[in-house]
Amino acid sequence: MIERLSRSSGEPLNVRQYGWGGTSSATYLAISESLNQRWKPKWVAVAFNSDDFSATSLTIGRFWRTEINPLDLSVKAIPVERTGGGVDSVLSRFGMRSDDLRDLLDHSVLAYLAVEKFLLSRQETIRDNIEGSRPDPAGAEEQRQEEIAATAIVRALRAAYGANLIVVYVPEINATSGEEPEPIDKILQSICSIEGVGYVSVRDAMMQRRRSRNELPEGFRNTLPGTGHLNSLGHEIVGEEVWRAVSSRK
Amino acid sequence: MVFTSLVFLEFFLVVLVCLALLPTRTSRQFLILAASCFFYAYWKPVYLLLLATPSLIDYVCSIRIEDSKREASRFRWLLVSLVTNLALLGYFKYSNFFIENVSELLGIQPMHLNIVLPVGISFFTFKTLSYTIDVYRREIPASRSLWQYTMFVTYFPELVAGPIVRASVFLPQMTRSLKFSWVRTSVGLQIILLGFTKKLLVADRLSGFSDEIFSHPAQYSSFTVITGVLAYSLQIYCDFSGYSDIAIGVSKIIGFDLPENFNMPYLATSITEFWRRWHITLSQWLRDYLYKPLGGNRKGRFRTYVNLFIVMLLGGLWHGASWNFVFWGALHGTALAIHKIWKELDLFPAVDNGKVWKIATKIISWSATYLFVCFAWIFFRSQDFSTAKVIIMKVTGFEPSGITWVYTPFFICSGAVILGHAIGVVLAKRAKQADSRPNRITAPRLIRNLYRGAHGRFGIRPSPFSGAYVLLPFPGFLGSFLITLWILVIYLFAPFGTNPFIYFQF
Repeated sequence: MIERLSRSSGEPLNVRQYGWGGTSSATYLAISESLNQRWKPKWVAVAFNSDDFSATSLTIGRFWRTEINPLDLSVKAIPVERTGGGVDSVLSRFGMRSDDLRDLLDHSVLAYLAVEKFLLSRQETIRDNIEGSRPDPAGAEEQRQEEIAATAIVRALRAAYGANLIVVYVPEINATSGEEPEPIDKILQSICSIEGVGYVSVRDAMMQRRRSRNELPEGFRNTLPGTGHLNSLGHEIVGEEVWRAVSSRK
Repeated sequence: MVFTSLVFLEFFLVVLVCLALLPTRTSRQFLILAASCFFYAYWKPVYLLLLATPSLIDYVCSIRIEDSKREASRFRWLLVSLVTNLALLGYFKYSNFFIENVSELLGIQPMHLNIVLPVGISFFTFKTLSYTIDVYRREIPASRSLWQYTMFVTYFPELVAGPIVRASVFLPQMTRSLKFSWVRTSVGLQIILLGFTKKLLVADRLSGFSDEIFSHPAQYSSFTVITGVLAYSLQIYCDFSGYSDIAIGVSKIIGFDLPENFNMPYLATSITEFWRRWHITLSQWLRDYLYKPLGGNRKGRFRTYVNLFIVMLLGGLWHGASWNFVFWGALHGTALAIHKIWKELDLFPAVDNGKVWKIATKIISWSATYLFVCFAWIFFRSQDFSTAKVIIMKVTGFEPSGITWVYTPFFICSGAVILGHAIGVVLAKRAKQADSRPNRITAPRLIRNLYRGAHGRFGIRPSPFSGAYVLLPFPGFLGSFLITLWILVIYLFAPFGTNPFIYFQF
């Protein structure tokens, strides 16, 4: 989409897209400097949604995890010991270290699915019990943690990519949500303004599409309406908005 | 404790192991009673008292009814039982509904009582009511064993959402040994798996979609809302009949036979037939303890129609303390009365009864019945009348615009349900033939080659209501393999989380 728009404007761009399954913010922070050195990109757009600022998105990763220094909010990337695919993330989530089990799971998709399903259903039962016995911790503290994570992430990306960075926020837009900007949307906007990097929230464009054409930018035929990753319409909107931001900054 | 949760599976396994280890029938019955109490107390221990109260009162009342010589005395004891049961049901289920409506009529600020609706109260109240009424009618003897009677009331497989078992069906089975049996386990396990399949692979898969559509119907297009309503019709069927299957299967493994509750209701070609196939034990309860005492069809045509309407109105109210349920019941009552009038009018007596005509009328009758049932589900599921109105505007095309979402799992589940019904129809036909030759095990045509390959170890067990189940030999290599595969498919494809059954709220 961005390449097509850039060509039609007479200033062609080559776009490289990065994204791996099962990764989190930690991975993208860890590779940012090496990516920049390798490609020396003119522009770098990094897309986020609200999940990317949760505590687990930084502390749990497929290849890296990160630690935030609470004093200066700098980020330190730490490689994760084993990189045996999703198996490690499943096992590490439950603090399990069994080589036999890992070998079995590495060789059998069926066994892997069965174990993962069991562990996740157990996790849900435990979580239900915990949540049933104490009040919901969400609220001001969670928002504060999100703010810290967002600041640290934007600073780290700014340090790696410089002023060419454009932070893109992709909110969850389903049939009823999205009328008002989420708190993290506003927080990110102010952080980017302070750090001097570009900021794009695609909320308005997505809402416009929903209102005018009754189309949802997220979710697929096999998911509930508006839930899931960006669909082709969502990608199209994000592409258009990124291109608009790039064009305006040239 | 939800049947589809890991906790229940662990609980049931422990019960089975203990049943197998206990030496006598009495000890096994005591174990089942204890397990039933634990099952109910797991949700809220204090409500065990609620189970104990009607059990004790009905036990005493039934004996008094049986022992009393004078009719007036018998009636007095029956009244004690009825008032106790209905007062408990009324207090827990309808207090707030009553207060809200009276307050609204009087124009005063409504007071809200902080009452938690005990799970399954509608079911076990109907069960205990039927017991004392049956004793009063001298249809069954009063149980002289308190703990056996308590076991009947608290029996955990059907305690919270039916089938509504009558004492005349359950208590005679108390003479069974309850020893572990491979045959019963094989049959029960497969019925449980059928229930799990309906609940986890169809109902739970569709619940998110129908919930979304019924929560925000105004946001979606006509097409999407129509699929949402159809999805709900499949969801509630698979949810409730799945629960019934699990209850029947669990009970069969323990050693008790429960009555069937569903017989492919969406194949009904009239609303009368629908109620003979849907929630059969409730329909029969309403027929025997409400419709007939009101006079049934013995007091003239008009009274018959009125009786049908009243029964369904109360049937609707039984489902929940809300005008939506009352209206849903009224719709069905009206439809039943109209169907009765239609049959009596016999508008097409002279029309040739040719094959084409028969098929055409069947298709038209089936479509009209299914569409009416779906239409009535709108009121059953909607939060309030204004939501129902929006949905009706959408499905009738008066407000067609909105988000169009083609939810493919709905179409896959629909296909699976249609296929399941097709197999059910074939098996029901075979079962009828098997009825005429009760000693011969037959295989449905579809799997005959497989049957031969398995050296005739497939069997069909015709059941009195729902046609048949395909039963695989278990233990036995092929049967074990197929059952393991079946379990694995359910395990891997079931959505995460434990969704409670819809009928738990009633």
